[in-house]
Amino acid sequence: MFINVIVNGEKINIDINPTKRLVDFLRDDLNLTGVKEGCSEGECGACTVILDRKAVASCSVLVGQVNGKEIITIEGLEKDGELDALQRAFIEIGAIQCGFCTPGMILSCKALLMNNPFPTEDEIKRAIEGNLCRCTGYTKIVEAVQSAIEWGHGNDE
Amino acid sequence: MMNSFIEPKNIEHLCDALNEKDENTYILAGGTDLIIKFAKENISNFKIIDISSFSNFRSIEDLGDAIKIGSCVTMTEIENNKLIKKEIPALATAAYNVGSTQIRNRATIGGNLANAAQCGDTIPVLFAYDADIEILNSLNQVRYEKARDLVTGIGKTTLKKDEVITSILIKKSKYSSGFSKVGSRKSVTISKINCCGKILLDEDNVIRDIEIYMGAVGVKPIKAELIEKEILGKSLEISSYNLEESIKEQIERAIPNRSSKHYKKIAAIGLIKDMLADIRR
Ligand code: FES
Ligand code: FES
Repeated sequence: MFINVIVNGEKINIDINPTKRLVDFLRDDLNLTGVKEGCSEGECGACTVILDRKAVASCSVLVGQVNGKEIITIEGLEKDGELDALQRAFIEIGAIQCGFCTPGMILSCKALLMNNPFPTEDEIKRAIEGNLCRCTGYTKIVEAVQSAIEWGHGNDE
Repeated sequence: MMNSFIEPKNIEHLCDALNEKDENTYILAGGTDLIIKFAKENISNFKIIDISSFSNFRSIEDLGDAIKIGSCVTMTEIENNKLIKKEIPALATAAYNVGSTQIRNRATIGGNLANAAQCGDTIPVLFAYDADIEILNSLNQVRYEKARDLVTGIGKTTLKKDEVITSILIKKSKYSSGFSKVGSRKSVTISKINCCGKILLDEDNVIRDIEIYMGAVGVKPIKAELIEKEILGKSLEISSYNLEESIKEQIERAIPNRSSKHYKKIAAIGLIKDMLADIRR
């Protein structure tokens, strides 16, 4: 089946098995390995991508379902060699340890900020409820998102 | 067998697909249960009828005396919908409390019902509101069934092989409602119980009518008659601790032979408390 999809701003038209999971398509066919697979059960959030401005677990979506839609992965956040404010904040605040949860975590936060540029602390916590982190204890992550907001993440939207 | 993927564009197309549906064909809505099930159970041969983008099933409509919710409306859409917040507050709370943003963004109300998971959060609400479910078959015939009758057990419904849920109808009323649950992650499935209370208040905040359904204390949500009786005629300010006896007895009757009953008796006291608090909000 031919699928039309915009991935990280690029139009892609590809003949692909529509019953493949989105996570496999992104990793294996498009080589976007920033998409991580943790639990394969929709519980850990490592495979989170942004689908039409919403955070989704790519292990629970089939490729056929993204026909005509737009996807952003962690690889798509950097613009002209510059990291997104969220990425910079995660690095500077120290919200990354092993890094396995980070792409999904940042994308959940990005989706939040796309729809709600000035979230409260509770709203940030709620947005990342589906992203498990075994290392950081989340405090730094919330702090990083707050810093990114202060630094004016929204200017690029 | 080759896997196949059909995305019906109109009702005729959908009916054709339903007509050809066999035991390897699955109706796909949000995918938050189905695709995970494929991975878990190693199901690699399957045919898909994807209704997730089918526009007929994606709207929330005000019919004047009732609200019609398309089967593929997501939890995120439900929790943010003004009409639902006003008319069926417990449904908005139930959707708000579903596991994670990623799941809320994909999981659908129709999927919740069709999967009839014991912990399906919207199901006790649909029971309490006496929701009517609109069902379409491959001959383009429509039938209606009460949510209460449609769900028959864990993962069991009266849906036939060539049928699909198209929408959920809920009558508007003067009742207000609340929802609560204990335990949200899959890893603590055993502790999952939920409940919906729907009440009619008079001017003095006295409860004149009440309907309570509790989920995950049986194969499908049960009507908590003992608790209802205890609450009826009382003020909405009632503390659930005064209801302790009837709550415990209700759980005892529901699951007399389950070891989880001891825990669930205690948990249910908090559950009723939170449900009443949700109504007062
Ligand atoms: S791999 Fe998708 S949520 Fe864990
Ligand atoms: S940094 Fe290791 S899991 Fe989050």
